Amino acid sequence: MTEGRVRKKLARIASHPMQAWSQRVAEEFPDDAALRMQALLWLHAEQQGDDETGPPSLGRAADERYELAVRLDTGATSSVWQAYDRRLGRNVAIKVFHERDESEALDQVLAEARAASDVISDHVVRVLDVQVGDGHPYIVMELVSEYDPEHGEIVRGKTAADTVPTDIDEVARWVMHVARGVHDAHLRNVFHRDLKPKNVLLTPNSRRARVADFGLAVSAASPDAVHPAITLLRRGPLGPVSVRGTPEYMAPEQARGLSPGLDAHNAQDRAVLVAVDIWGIGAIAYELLSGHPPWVVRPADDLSAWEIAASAEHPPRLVRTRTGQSIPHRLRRVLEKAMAPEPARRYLTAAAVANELEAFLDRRPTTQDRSRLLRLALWCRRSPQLALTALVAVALTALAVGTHATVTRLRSERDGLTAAVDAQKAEQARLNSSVEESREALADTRTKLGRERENLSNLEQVLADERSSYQTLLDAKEQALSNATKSTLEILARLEEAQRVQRSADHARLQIERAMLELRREGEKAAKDRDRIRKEREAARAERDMAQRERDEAESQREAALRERDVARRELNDLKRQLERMARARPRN
Amino acid sequence: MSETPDQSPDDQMAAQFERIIRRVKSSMNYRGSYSTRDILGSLVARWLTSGEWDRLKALPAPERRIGESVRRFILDRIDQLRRRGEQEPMPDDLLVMPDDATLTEMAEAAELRAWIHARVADLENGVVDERVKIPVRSPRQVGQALRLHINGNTQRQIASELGLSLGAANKRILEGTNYLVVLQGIESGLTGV
Repeated sequence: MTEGRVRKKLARIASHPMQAWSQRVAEEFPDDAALRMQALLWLHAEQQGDDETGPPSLGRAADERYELAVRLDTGATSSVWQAYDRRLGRNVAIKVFHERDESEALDQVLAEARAASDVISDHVVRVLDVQVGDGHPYIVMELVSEYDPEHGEIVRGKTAADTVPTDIDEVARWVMHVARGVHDAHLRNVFHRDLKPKNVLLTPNSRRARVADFGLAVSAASPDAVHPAITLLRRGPLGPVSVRGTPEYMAPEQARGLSPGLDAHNAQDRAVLVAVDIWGIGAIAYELLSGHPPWVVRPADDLSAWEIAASAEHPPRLVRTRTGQSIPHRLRRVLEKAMAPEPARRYLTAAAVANELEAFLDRRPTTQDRSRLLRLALWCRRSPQLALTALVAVALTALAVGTHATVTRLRSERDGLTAAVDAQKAEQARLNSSVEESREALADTRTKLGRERENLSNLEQVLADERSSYQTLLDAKEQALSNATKSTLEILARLEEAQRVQRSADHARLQIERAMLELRREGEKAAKDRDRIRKEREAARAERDMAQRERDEAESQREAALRERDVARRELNDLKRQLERMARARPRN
Repeated sequence: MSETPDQSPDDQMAAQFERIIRRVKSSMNYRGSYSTRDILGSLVARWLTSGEWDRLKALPAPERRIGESVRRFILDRIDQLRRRGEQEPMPDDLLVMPDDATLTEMAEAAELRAWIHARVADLENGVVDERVKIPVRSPRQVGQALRLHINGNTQRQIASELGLSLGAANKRILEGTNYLVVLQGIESGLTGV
């Protein structure tokens, strides 16, 4: 049988009343018993599907009042419809429960409605009505919607889970609204216990957040109860504990199980319930920022979200948003405190979280901002004009103080330099005077040396004359005066030595002159060469003394030469006398 | 919905159909864990994968002792879990197990969820069970629509995701659900081939 034929036959059968289906199926598929059963099952399933696709019945009276228009969401236990309240002429949201007649489900509906209706807050979706009558049980709530002037129509809000925040500030604002709503609920002794982005509705234009779905709430009117058949854990004197909530967003202690029958009027129990909701507020911020809930199933470790939540792990650290934006430290500190693993370390109230987020948004310091520098920076961002004025005043003061300090320092430096120049000048004058003295001393020395040279020259002339006379005498009497000649030659050799000494003296004089020139040049270089000049001057003096000594030595040599000359003269005279005696004696012979 | 002796065969069959349809649909609407029962259900689902359930099913009902097996399994998991975190002494009466009937119901529900996920995966791969005599149109698209539906997407989101009209998306989900119901009927021996 072709696909089309089977479908057509099924459609034909479905158009008949349900009571006639068996007969019609038998007629259409006479040869195939299995197909007959499958067709019947298919038709029943389709019938129920059609029932579910269309609006469920709320009971006769409610059906007359509410016109269910659009299914907004479907969950395990209920679906949410947008409906029109004909009596009051307004749109509402109706949460219709699947179960019609199970007392447990009906209790849950009433508990949720009572908890939510107790709360009066701008940040909580209001409950308008509840019904557990002849049709499906339902709760009528206000429809979170706004008029869109651009399109001229009413636009429904979306859940925070279906909305991407524009920036970090928007997340902080939404979570602040949620915290305000949760605090308002706490003031009415209602504790949500299932806070997550899906339970936060956002108005489409003004983008304000409102808390919805108090399905797991504990309130004074509806204390938590534990079904005896599904108790999981038992802990010492506390007895069994109850695990309720959404595992991905559960506080650690909530995942490990809370004691059932927590009393909203008991201070200790209240603290437990408040701490769970404060964790939930943090968990909403965590997902809106990071894009994933605090606890995520880890298939690699074979761990469910509940198991991870119940362990002592910390959620992955918040560093960047889902779009890669860096999450400010200030916000992170607030959220880390809200999601502290130990309930006692969390904020004491949801209002405290809201205030912290408000401070973050207003650029005011939160209680976690302890750095004075950060507080100053925040003040500057908060009051830019005042900060600018203060900054200018501080800058001008700093400029004035700086200028004064600079002038004082420059004056001091100038005085120091003047004193140094004066000292330098004095030193220069002293050095000039010293050089002048050295120059005069050198001039005197030069004069004396000139005189000495003149004396030496005269002496040389005398000696030359003497040598000439000796030579004459010796030439005349060469043979006879050989001994005298030898003596004379020795004398001459000594005279040559004296000349050599004279040359050394001349050389020394030249050196002194060079030293004088060097001194003169170096004297111009001022103070640094003063010591060297002095040393050179002393060296010159030493050389001069040496020259003097050499001159004295030459003088003594000259005197020795004169004495020798006198000796030679006497010897000559003796020779002359001998020669005369010989001459006188020769004629007689 | 319980069957009573004065019901006609058609009513009894309708009741059986109703039970199958409800089980399949509630399993498809399962949205994760919300209560102690669901947490316990998720642990039972893990226990199923240990193969213990298959072994116990082969035994006569009075000898199964599901509670003891599940209790041992869960205690072992919790023990492992606690070794990762806080070291608290674990009292013997830490676990209070439901009766075997409740546990069996949980195990069957978990088993059904796993079965549904596997069949949806088959449809996504274009595989239709040959035993189903009513043909499924566009099985891949039906599988994709069912997967999105099971994951909690609204019909509008499914339509948008698959590029279908809202009506077409609704039809795919209905058709897929019907197929699963019929196949579950076959599995439970109600509509044998």
